[in-house]
Amino acid sequence: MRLGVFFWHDSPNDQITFAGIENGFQAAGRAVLFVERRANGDRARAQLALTELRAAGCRLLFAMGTQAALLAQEHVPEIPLVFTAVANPVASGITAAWTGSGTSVAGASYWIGPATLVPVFRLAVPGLQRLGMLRSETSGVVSRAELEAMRAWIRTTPGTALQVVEAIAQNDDDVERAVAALLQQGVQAIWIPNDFTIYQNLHLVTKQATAARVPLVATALAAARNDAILGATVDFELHGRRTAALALRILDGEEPGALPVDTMHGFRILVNVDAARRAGIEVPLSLLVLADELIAEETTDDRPR
Amino acid sequence: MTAPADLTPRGTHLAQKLLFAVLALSVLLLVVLWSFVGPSLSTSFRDRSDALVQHSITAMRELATRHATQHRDLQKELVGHTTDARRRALLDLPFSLYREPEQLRAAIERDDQDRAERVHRNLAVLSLETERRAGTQIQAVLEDLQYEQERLAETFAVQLRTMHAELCALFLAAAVVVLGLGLHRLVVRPVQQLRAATRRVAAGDLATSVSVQSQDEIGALAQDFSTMLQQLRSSRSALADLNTNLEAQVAQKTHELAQAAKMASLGTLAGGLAHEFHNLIGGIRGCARDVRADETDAATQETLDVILRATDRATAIVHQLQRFAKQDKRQFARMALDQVAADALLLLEPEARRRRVTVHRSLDANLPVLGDEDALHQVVVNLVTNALQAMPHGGELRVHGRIDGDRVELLVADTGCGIDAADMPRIFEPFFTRRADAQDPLQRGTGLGLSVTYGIVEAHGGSIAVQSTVSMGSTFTLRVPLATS
Repeated sequence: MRLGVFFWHDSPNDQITFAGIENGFQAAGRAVLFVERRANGDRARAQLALTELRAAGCRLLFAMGTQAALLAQEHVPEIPLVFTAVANPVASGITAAWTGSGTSVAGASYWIGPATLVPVFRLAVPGLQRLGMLRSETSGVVSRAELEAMRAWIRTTPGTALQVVEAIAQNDDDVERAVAALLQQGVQAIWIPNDFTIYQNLHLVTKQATAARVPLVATALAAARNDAILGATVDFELHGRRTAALALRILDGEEPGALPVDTMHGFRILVNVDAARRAGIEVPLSLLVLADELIAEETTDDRPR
Repeated sequence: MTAPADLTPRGTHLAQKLLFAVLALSVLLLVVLWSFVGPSLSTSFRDRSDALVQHSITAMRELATRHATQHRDLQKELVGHTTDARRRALLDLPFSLYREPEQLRAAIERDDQDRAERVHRNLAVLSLETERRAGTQIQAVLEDLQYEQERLAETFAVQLRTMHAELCALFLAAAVVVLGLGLHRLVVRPVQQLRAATRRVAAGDLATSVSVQSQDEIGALAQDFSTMLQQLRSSRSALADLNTNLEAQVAQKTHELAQAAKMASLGTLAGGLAHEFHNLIGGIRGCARDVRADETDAATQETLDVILRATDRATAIVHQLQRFAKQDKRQFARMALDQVAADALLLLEPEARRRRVTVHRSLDANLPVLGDEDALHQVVVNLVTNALQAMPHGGELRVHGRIDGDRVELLVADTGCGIDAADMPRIFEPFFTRRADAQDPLQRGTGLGLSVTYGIVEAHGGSIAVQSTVSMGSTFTLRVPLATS
């Protein structure tokens, strides 16, 4: 049995999630053949890849990421679609509701709600009241959803004492201006969301933020592993296994449109100790204890003697 | 002329005294430093060091306590979080994938193992991070301690500098006081005494004295001042004496000049008279001799003889007047005055014996003079004759001759009746005689002896003086120029 796997671009989230899918199928003892196609962020290539997947006779298609899910929905609607590595499928327009799409689309979300994120951010930046979000126009579908969800939560939750300031980069070349705009508004931290354009140009963000001694906090795994001091994300391998379990239910005959979007209870906190040190920011020890993963390549070189 | 004062300082030098005073002051300061300042500084530094050590111990204890508490809290948080994370992971585990319980247990164990590995990695990082932060905190504490230590050292240094400055100021003040007192005692006060003495001397008080007793340069100066004062007193006394003598000499010279003028006038008058009388007497004598030669009458001859003898006598008087007036012509030749005096004494010895006058002769040999031997012989005869006549009842006659500088001095002294003071100014005047009351006109004398003597001596460039006391005797001193070879 052939199962298609469609990547919009090679993001770490997608890769790890796919590995979890493979592990899930292996754990379930179901032998399948994964046919992988990658668009590398190019729409024409994406269309070609989806055409090839249709021609390959795949019984089910995994869409890795929000953009991949939207493209697959558009070009191969006849193949049951399981989206994964998607933050907010409802806000992104992949499904109509969290309870089920009513179509041939089902999937899993790694969404972490603002009620969880804000306390985590405040562990890294105590007293955080003015949070800047940096996102892009070109690849800002997910990040827009994250921002809207955050603002909605702030509106509906009294006593949050938090203001989110947004800066949109039109493209790669506009990232530095957007960062400067945020810094000019006196933000205490910059939120790096799941936005490919932003975390691909993270070094530009880091340069200015470090100079201003403003920490970066991220919901994008790639950002957390590089220059953000804090990352709030999920266990994407587990997320992949949960996606595999969802796909097996479809393969076993359940209707995709009746399945609710799979979400996770847990989340993971990554603390980049090296990035914090480079930015000259001292992360509270309690956050280091709470962290699920501490990123620190330096071990002994800079220890005080 | 006074010899220059000895400028070599005697006794202890002034500078040495002041140096001794400063050295003594320095020793005193060292004693104060050793006895009081040093221990005080040491105690202060020890107290501050003890406080610093105590502060260090307290800081380290607080740091250790804080870390122990933090470590305990972190352990609790870690255990709690690990438990919560496992709970959430179990909730998210897709149980539907695992049909067999063994598979599920294996999956849970694998997740637990992954989680345990992450925790181990996190603990390693956490350990390094806490170690680094502890190191930073320890470093901060050590820097605080170092700052405290540097502050202590700086405070101590400031204290030392302040004390050093105060001690220097104290030493300088003490040195100034000691030097000032020393200068006042050793220099100013003696100088003031010297100045007061100088003012008294300037005011004419040469009897003043200086009471500076020190043995240094000031003492030497005072001693020199006293010596100078003594010499000044001697000079003033000598000057007074000289002034007095000068007045007497001026009076004497004035008297002598007046006498000389008078004698010169008398000489001129006597010379004129003598010249006129000499011609008249010559005429009278010629006429009388001619008449006498032709006269036969004995009585007339007798009268004419009287006239001739009178003219002889008058001629003699005229000659004497001419001698007084220095109008007689003399031939000067080198001769020995002692010999001339000896010849005159020899001539008059019989008269002296007759008058019971003892003659004491003391004539130095070879008293050379340039003069008229006969005239000088007459001078000696006149003086000795006057002396003998002053001693009618005997006495002593002393005749001394000697060289006195560029003069030959001949002294004729008697122990006779002396000369009244009222007669003294006139005794060399012609025709002045103190025997005017004698019965015999010849005994009364002509009063020309001393005037002739005066004229002869004057003609020889000499001088004659007389000292006399009534009833004690008279002394005539003759001084004529010494004849040089």
